[in-house]
Amino acid sequence: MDYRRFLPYGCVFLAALVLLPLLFLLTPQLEYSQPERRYLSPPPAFRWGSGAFSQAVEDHVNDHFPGRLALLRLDAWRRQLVGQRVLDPVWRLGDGSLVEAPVDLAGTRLRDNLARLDAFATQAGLPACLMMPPAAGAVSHQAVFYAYPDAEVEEALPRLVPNLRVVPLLAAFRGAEPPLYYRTDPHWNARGAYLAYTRLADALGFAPLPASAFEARESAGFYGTTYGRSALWETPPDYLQMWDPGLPLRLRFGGEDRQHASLFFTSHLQGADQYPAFLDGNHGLSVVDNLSPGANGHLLVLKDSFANSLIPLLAPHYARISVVDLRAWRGAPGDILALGPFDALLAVYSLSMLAGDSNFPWLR
Amino acid sequence: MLFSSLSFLYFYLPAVLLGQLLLPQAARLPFLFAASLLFYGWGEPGAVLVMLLCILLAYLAARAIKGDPPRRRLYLWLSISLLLAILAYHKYAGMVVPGFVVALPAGISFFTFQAIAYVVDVYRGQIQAETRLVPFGTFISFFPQLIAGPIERYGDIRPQLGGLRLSLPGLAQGARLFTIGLSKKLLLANPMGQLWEILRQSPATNGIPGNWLGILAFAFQIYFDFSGYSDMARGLGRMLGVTLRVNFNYPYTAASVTDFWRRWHITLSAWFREYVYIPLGGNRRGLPRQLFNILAVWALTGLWHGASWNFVLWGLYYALLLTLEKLFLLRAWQALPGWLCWLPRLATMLFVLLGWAIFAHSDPHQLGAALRGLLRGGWALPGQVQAQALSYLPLFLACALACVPWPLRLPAWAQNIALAGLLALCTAALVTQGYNPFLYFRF
Repeated sequence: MDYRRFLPYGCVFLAALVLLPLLFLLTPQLEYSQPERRYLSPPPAFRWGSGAFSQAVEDHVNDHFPGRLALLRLDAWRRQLVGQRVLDPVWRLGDGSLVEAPVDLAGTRLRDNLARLDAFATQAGLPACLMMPPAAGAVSHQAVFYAYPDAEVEEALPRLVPNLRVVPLLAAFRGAEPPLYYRTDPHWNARGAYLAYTRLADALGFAPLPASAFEARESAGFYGTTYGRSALWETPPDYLQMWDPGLPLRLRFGGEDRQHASLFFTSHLQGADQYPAFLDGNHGLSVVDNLSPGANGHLLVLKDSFANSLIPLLAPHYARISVVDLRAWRGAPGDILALGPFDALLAVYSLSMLAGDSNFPWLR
Repeated sequence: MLFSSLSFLYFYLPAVLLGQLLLPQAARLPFLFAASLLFYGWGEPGAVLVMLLCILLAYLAARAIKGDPPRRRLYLWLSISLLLAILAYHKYAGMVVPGFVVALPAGISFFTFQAIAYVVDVYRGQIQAETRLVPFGTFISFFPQLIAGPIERYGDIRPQLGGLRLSLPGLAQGARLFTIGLSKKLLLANPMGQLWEILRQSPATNGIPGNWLGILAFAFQIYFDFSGYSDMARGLGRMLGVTLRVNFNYPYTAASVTDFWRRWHITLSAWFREYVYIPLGGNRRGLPRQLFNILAVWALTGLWHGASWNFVLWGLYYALLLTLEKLFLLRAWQALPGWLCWLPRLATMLFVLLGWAIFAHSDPHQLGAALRGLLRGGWALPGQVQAQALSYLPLFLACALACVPWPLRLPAWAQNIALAGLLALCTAALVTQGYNPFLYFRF
């Protein structure tokens, strides 16, 4: 073979082998990757005879490689174009929105978690509801083809949790005018949360307030978690939507003496991931007291982060809402029910949480 | 260390090339030996000792064979037995004694076979016994082909190690080969492996088309994984001034199973032919003996691939196919009219795919389920499998295209541009680095 034919590429290859390591060594290294919302690996400490050291070197080189974000984006587009994206945890739909891939139910904790939830509802002896927010892809008409399992699970839920009243959402969400979800985050937006709230009203026995009863606020520049995992950096940001009931209220977090007069924490709106603006994110226990005269009733909410934007809508209907997030809850047996007495129990869990969360044993 | 890693491509490789460029001729070989030991011990320092033991054993045995002719046969069998014992202890002990687990040094099957070939070649008088440890140690540990071949013979490599030097032709050709191999690995084999890992979980519900799609994905994965590694090895060797043998020659275009094995893992087939089949008598002792020799060679070939009975079954499966071809099938294929020339290729591909189904499942129950899934069950594709199949269509087409030599017929300027693009895509894939196994490392 005449080597001169491939001399141009040989030069490119050698240039890459010289320049990229030099750039790696000479450019300052970041500690935190803002778009991905994660800390980058630190320089590895030498450990003799351990595969951990070589892995730490690989991680460090990968995390600080020159042009890393651009390369991640290039790879994301390659996977998108060749169809490999179907196996990625985040999909880009035709309208540019980024959604979580369907949950693979094989070998998950779904049945076990639901059984624990059902047993807890029995033990509590309360009117209890379960609401499973559908995945954005399961609702989108562009993605129904991909066979999200949300519909079959929602249909099976009444059999799996006979002691909870299941509030079905999928049909209502599929029939509603989009968008009901953020384009850069897996959560429902304010319209989605409001739709869920109206479906919940009958089950919990209150009359839903009209949308106009809430003061709507928006915050620009919202890059959520699907954005951070997608590496499709050119995706435009969304607006975080907050519907404020405008009540006199008090919010306390478990283990903290400080009290807050709002359910919205605007300090989080300065960062890229603004979702913790609801309730300051996920705390083991958050207690919302409605200070309006005449408010009554105590609701226990077991939840994942979908409920964070739902709590402000529920707040006008109860004197107190105790919100437990099992991912951060480490109480003793009986501690949750000791927060009562309660009038009702509401569980809000997405399918990915029901199938994957290992914290349901704390529900006791 | 993996070829398909940023630390190898952008740190280790430039450092080795720079060393070879700057060091005087006499220092290049020791430097390459040391660099190869670092490469091998990078993730698994303990495995270096096993390799050094093999090096020392073969080196001393060859010296003894040369220095003590009356007892040369004893030294030959003693060294072969010890080398095979090292291989068997690390690779097959768990197969014989259930629950006995020993860490498997990467590439042990490759470097022990090279060491055995060296001792046998010295015994046969085909090559001289090496007097210096460093050249022989560099041959066995030569990092481009240490982990997954090609399986080389010392007589081919030793003359090249004497004049190691970097050259522009070598670098240009090596860069091209390496990039082709890296692209096969990262852009074709890894995605296909991901699809296969999903589809293999549920043969009972994939439907017949879904299961064939899965085994096709595995066929692409193992081909591009292994031939990609071989291309990278040859490219790296070329950059360093060493020409390694071609290991794959478009095997999925084969017109018969016999032809397939002339194109797949060529250096392993050559090793078994040279050191097992021919010493057993080859085809010189009549048909029954030849058929027995085929059976023995293929049972061993299967066993070489892994410490599991499915690999033996896989080897025997090929022994059967090759026997059938030798007895009548090849003649039947050749007697077909011209317009049916596609039939042997299709049949060969189906045989090979069934073979991969046996190869891929070490658990007998899973193997049974996989074979049932390929032959029985519905024809409908479940929604998720359909989605994956349709989504993967561009990749399947790219894989099919890469299985034939057509892309190499592009004009040089187009290939240069394509190679630069592939290097960028590979670097991007390395930065993402999710799923990156090398299937042949375990062999």
